[in-house]
Amino acid sequence: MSEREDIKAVVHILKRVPAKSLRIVELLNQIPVVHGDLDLTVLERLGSEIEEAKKEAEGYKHATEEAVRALLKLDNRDDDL
Amino acid sequence: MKTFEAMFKKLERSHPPSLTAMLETFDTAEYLTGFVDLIHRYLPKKEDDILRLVGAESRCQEFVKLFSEEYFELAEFDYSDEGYNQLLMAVPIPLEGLGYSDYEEFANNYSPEWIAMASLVCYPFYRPEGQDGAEDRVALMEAAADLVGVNTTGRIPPAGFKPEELHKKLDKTKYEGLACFADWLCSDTGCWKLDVNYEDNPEGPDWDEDTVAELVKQEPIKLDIQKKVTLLEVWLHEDLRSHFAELVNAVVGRPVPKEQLTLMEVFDD
Repeated sequence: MSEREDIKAVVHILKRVPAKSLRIVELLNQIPVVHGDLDLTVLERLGSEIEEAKKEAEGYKHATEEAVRALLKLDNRDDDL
Repeated sequence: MKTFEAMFKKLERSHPPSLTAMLETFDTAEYLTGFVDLIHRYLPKKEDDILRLVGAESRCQEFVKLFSEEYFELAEFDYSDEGYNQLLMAVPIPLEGLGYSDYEEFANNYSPEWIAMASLVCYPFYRPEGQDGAEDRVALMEAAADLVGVNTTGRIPPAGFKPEELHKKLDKTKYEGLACFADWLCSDTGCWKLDVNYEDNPEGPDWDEDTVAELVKQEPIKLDIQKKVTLLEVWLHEDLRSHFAELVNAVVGRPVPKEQLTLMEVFDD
């Protein structure tokens, strides 16, 4: 495939990726900040929920990194040609 | 040109939220929770004094200061990078034990009084059976001889004295500091702060109540040992040559007549 076709294909794939609403973003917006730190009382209350949100974010981060690696491989393949 | 370079640039310009940064925020918050837990365990009445300060560095420093006042002295490390995490990893005890490299460079790095005292103490590290460590003490003995005269150091056995021998001879005398110094040099005081060094154990012990209780118990013993060593050091400093000769007499147990000592000193010069 040519470079133009590659980009077109990737854009097409990316458009089909469903939007992902991560809980970690919601939580960070929800927890008040006291003296520059996240409110400890609220953190304590949301402990298990935070752990779940962190796991979800770690998984998403890992998957994104995998996707980036796959794209870079595609890039390197073009360089080799 | 890389195929996706333009796409990456465009994406970067839109400043997407960083998941790594968000995760870090929670990790930092976890460290803060751990730090607050540490305050609850050891300095519950000081919580407000510590937490009213802003930033991990100044809070950790305040914790270290207040903890040292109430329990035992902690090391004043730099908390500007790792913050709470560094304090939580281990009890930051100041390690004053002497490691192998310290001993190797003893003649270059320590005071004349310490060099003289060390010349009386056996080689503090493992030697295979049949070896007494005398050959490992040659440089130290030479440095001591330069300071106090070869006639005095010549009366010291090449292998020096073991701590238990020095305790037997010197405990309850004004020279007791030498036996304490020998324990320290041989990492055998029973106090972690004096027996452990950064070279062998760069990390401190974990925070737990038994560790803190043990260190509280050891602190007065440690201070007593150091006090006795310092007293001897100060006394030697007043007149190193003659006071050290007196110390050697006390250890070797065969006092040299004053006239003879003076003659030898003249000969040394």
